[in-house]
Amino acid sequence: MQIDDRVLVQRAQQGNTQAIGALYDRHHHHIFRFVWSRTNNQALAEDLTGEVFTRMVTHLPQYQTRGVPFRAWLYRIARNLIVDHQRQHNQHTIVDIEQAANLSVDEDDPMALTETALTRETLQHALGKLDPVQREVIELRFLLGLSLQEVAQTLDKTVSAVKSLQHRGLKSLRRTLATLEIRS
Amino acid sequence: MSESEELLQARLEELEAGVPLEQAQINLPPEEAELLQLATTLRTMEAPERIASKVTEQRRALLALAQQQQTSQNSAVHAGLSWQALWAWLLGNKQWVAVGVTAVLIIVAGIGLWPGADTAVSPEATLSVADAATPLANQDEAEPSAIPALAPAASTASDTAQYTAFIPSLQTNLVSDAQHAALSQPTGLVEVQRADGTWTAVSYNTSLSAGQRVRTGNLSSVSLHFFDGSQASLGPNSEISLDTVDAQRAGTGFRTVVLTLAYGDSEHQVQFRHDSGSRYEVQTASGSGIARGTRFRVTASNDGAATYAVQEGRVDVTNANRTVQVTAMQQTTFTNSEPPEDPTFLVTGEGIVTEIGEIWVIAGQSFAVTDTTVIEGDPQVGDIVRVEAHLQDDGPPLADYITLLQPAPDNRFHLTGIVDSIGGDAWVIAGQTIAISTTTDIDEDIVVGDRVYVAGVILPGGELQAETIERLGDDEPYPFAFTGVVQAIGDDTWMISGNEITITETTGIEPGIVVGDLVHVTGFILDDDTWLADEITLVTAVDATFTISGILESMDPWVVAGLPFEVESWTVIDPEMAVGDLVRVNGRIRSDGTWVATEIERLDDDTLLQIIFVGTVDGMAPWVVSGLPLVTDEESLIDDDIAVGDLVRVTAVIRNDGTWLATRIEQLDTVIEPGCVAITAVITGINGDQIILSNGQTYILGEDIVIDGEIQVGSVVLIIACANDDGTITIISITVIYTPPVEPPLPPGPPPEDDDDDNGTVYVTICHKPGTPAEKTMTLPQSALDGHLGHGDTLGPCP
Repeated sequence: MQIDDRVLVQRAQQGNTQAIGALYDRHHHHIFRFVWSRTNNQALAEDLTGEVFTRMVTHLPQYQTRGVPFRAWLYRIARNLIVDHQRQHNQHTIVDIEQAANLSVDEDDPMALTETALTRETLQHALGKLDPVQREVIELRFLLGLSLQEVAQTLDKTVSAVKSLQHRGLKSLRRTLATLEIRS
Repeated sequence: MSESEELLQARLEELEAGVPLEQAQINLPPEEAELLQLATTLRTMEAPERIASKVTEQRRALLALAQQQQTSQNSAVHAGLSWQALWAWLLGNKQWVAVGVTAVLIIVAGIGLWPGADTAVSPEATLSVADAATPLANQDEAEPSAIPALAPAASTASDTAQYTAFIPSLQTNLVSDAQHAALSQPTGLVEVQRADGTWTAVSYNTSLSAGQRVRTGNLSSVSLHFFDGSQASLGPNSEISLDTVDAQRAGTGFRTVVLTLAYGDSEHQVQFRHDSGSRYEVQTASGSGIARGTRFRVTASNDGAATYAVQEGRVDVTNANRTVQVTAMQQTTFTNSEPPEDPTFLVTGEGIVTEIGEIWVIAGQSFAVTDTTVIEGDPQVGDIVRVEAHLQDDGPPLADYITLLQPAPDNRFHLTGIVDSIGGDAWVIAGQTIAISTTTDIDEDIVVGDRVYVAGVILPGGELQAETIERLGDDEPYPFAFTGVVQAIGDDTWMISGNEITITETTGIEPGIVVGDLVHVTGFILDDDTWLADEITLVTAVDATFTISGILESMDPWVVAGLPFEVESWTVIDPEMAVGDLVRVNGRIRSDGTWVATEIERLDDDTLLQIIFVGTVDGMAPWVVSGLPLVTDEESLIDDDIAVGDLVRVTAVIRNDGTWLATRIEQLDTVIEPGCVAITAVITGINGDQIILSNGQTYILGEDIVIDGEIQVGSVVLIIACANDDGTITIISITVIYTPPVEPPLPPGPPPEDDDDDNGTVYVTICHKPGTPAEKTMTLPQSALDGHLGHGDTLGPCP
């Protein structure tokens, strides 16, 4: 049976290195996936993911299990790291529009869009076009797998507000994807 | 909130519960169905595989970093010191033998406060040094072989406990001198105020001096180590100032440490000192507590309220011109202008929170919670906490601290089903009674027959308390999941926290589950409202324990200090226990909330802490010996003709009110002339007319030496030695201060060389308590060998 994150975090805070290893094992894929979705650069995502967990160890004493969910806390570290990195290197996610627009939608078939094999580059590009708050909700909900309540806790919003942002975010994302298709 | 938002979220939760996408899209408007699929696509969005070597490398580096952090913290505490190293350090500081005429030897010989202190001599004896005169010749050359003799506790777990109170000595080498304190084990944010008033974050092993202040942030803590081995630990969100720091070690002067806790929480472990001039004081905004040698905790709030809770020894707490003596397992509280309350007994325990409010129920016991209660970690119902409380004249114990130990493994449930009935306090959904409260978030217009999604918490006893009830539009069976206690195990059904769960051959059940276990259940609710278990797994619960000290009020049922508990056949109970006795109860808390004692120990006033010391009589009405005021009663045995200035041996006990009751005062015929010194030492060996002392030195007992008492291995003796004109030392007299208790008789058996008796019993020879004053060769049945080896004895005769 999987041990709760909170228990692992408490053990890690007490100096249990095995718990730290377990936290890394449990979350590094999600964090990498998120960092990669923001940077579109595997090598960079690898390095930043490592840095996220280094900061996790350093700042673990300050983390409170009753505050932000642990994965969301890691997300915040990762997001800040990405922002710092991009600021320092004056970088932004660059996606090849030709690659991104590789879509085919049948207007008569509403299921056609999502049935199309969306490339990850396309999705990345579309995510980058979202309103920042909507993007955070979408990333937390679907890339990191947080529950609605956890997202609300993380962003200090009500569950209703997150529910609404989630709905609007998905709709915006769909529109963006459709626009990309039209442009192509 | 729009209906489409609600609908989308409901279907997303179905997906999260394992419902296939196609099924979750049924009856959804096309646009919502598309959004649902887009969400699924995002969840499964392809990402590059991580580079395996990177993962391995990062993980290794992470563990190394964590280990490094941990090591740097631990090194502040342990600094690689073993017991041998400690004693070597002590010897290296030349503090073990010389004792002046006003010095006293403290021997902890009692039980209770010093667990396991049933043997000869505390290490403190070797630290009982005062205004030493001329050290003995060769003192600097203590043989290494003498070291183990001074550290009898190192070899056995039970004996080690005897020296728990002295462990802080290990840290004293971190501190450069008596006027400084070393800051160690910082966790989280720890700041020190600099001379210019600014606060600076600090790290491991920072040195502090009087006038400085230390504060901690959330989830932060730090320890302060003083030169004499005393230690103060600061909890989260606390601030303490070092007003006076002159932590002289015993024998070099009085210890004066004065701290002021501005706010927050602090724990103190103070090295015991027999001299009346030493002081370890913790002040708060309005009051203070003075300790000699003890372990206690102080909590202070910004409004001037403070609590002093004592784990061991005694603390004199003063406020508004009143002083109360707080002894082991007691506490007192005062507010800004009010005197401290009479001490009350403490109750501590661990267990699951089942109710929160003005009254908290923890492990089945009620505790009052007020503004003064310090609640750490925001525990909630279902969480496992530690509670420290004190008894009140009426009502349940008042909780002083409630600390989150472990969040609830999973005390939540969620289910989907048809509403069978709707009531004011409870609904029936899918055959389950669901409690409703004023805070339950319920969709409007739900009627009987609607399919709803319910999420909430499981209350004690298995009651399901809804937090949200949302209407759904589908009629497919849905999954459920919850954690509960197994109440009954049948072939086809189990009862888990009041819920009947159906078992089939497809149900995965973790082996070893028995009634009373905490389990996590997942499954599906069928059309006929059957709850079909898919998987039942064991949830590991914390091993909850409790300790109560107080008056035994009843033995059927057992009640101590108003708190009921159970005893079992395996409960260890002191013999001749009677109602009215002062007892300490240790036990465990069962998953059903009942408290079961594992040990009930009588705390007899006279056996709490027995002390034997030698000193000079300063006064006789009242009795004062070496500055220590003594109480006598009609049972005190006092030699005739004692006069002020005489050297006496005192046997005393510390009573609950903190006074020292002398049970015996013996006159010693020893006179210390100018140019002579008194030395205390432990006899570690006797060889004819030679005696070997604990420092490895050997002396021949000449005919001129006056010996008072019977010298044997383990005896603590007072040696009067004088310096000759040629620089040599002559021993004038030896007085036995303390003789170790006689070992129980050896088991009957044949001579050691005959290792097999007529009955087939094999006997072996061992060295009992090697390297200690109580070391001796014993012969015993081989069946008892493991037990002896287990506590440090060695096979074969003693050297």
